[in-house]
Amino acid sequence: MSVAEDILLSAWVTGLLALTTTAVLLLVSPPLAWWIAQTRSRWRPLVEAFVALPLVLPPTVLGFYLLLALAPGGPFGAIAQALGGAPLAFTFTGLVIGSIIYSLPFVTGPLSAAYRTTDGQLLEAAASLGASPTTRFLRLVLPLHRKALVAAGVLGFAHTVGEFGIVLMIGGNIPGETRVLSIALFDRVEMLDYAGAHAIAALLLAFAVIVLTFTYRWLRT
Amino acid sequence: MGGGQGRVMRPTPGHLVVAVVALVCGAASSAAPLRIAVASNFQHAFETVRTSLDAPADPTYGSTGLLYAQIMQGRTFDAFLSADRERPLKLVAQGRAFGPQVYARGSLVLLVNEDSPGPHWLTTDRRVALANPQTAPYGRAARQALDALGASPRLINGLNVAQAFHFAASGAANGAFVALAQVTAQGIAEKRYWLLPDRLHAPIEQVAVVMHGEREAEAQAWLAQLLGRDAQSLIGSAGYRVSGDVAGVDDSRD
Repeated sequence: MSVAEDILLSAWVTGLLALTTTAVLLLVSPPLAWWIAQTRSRWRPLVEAFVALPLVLPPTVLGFYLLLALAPGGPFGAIAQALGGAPLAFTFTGLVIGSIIYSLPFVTGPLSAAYRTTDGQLLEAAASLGASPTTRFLRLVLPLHRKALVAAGVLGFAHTVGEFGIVLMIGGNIPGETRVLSIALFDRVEMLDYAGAHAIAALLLAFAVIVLTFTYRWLRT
Repeated sequence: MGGGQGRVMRPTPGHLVVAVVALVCGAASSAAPLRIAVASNFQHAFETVRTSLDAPADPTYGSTGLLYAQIMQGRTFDAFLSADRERPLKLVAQGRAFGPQVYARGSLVLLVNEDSPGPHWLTTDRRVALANPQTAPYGRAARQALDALGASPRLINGLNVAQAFHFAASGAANGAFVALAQVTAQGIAEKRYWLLPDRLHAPIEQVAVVMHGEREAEAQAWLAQLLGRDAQSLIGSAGYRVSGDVAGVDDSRD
C-alpha cells in the first residue's frame, strides 16, 4: 500500500466514523438535552456529570474501560456475541461506540444550553392548545433551535475527526477498518516519514479551520 | 498595632532566583542519573538489572521508532538501548553515537488465550495482536514468521510489543506475538506460549549505543557494565540470549 493510498483509506475511515457517530448523536442528543434543560429531577446533576465526563477524563481512561467492556469477556462484547456478532474490540463498530461516548458532550452540551433559553410562554401556549410534550418538543423546540442543532452536529463531527486516544486504545490500527487519520499520522512520525506526516497533519488542520470558519460565519447570519 | 513584626524572613524574588539556580546546578551535576532511552520490550529486564549497576540510570521507555525520532529531534540521552540494530547504527553513521554492541538477543513467542499454541493455532478466524511491523523489530519478526508459515490470522496492530501483549492479556485479542522476556516477566505458564523457531524470522539483535555528549565517558562505563557477566546473566534469566559484538560493525573503540 502506497503512502497516498494509506492516507486516502484512513481519510475514508475517519469520514465514515465521524458521519456515523454524528448521525447517532443527532438522534440521541436532542431528547437527552431537552430532558436536561427541562427536568426538575434530582438525578439531573448525575446525568449531566456522566454526559460531561469525556470533557474531563483522559481519553485513555475511557479507552481502557471500553477495551475491557468490548472484549469477548466484557459486557458489550458478550452482548454482541450473544446476538451472533463478532467481538467489538478492534472493529469499526467498536470505534463508533467509543466515539459516541467521547463526542456526546460536544453535541448534548450546546443543545441543552440552547434549549434552556426556550420561551416558557410559547410552551404554555402550545400546551393550552392541546400539544403533547412530544409534539411540543418536535414541532416547537427542535425548529426553534435548529441552528444550535446544526452547530452541535458540526462540533460532534469535527471532534470525532480529531479523536486519537480512544482509537489508540481500542482500534488496533487495522487499515480500512480502524486506522483513522490521527493514528496514521502517529505511524508516519514513528516511521520518520515526515512528508507523509505533513500531508496528514495539513489535511486535518485545513479541515478544522474550514469547518469552524464556515460554522461561525453561518451562525452569525 | 505595630510592634508585632518579628524577624521572620520573608521569601523575596531574590531568594527564588537563588533556589532556582541551586536546583538547576544540582540537576546538571554528575550525581544526576544517566538518561537512558530503553526499548519497551526491555523494560522488565532493565528494572531487574539497573540496581546491580554502579551508576544510577533514569530510563525512558518507548518504542524504538519513537525514541529514535525523539533523539533526531534533539532530545538528550546518554545511551540508547534499542530493540533493533538499524536505528543505533544509523545514529553511529550520523556521528551522534558510538560503540554499538548487542546487549540482548530477543526471542519471539506466540502467546494465546485458548487452546494450545503452535503453527496450527494461527487460523483465519483468530485475532492476533503484533507490534507494528513497520516500526517495531518484534512486529517485523512476527510478520516474517507469518509469511514463512503461510498463516493469515486477523492482525491487530499494536504500537509496540507492550501494547500487543496488553491486547491479548485483556482478552480483546485471541493471542499476540510478543517477546519471550514479556511472558517471563509476567510468569506466564509455558503451555500458553510457543517459542518460534529461529528459522522463521531474522534474528532480533538488540543493539545499544553511547550517545555523544558531555557524559559519554560515564555512559560508556555504564554500558560496559551492562555487557559484563553479572548483568548479562540477569538479562539472560529475564528471557534474552547472551550478548556479543555486532557482526559486521566496525567498532574501532573495542
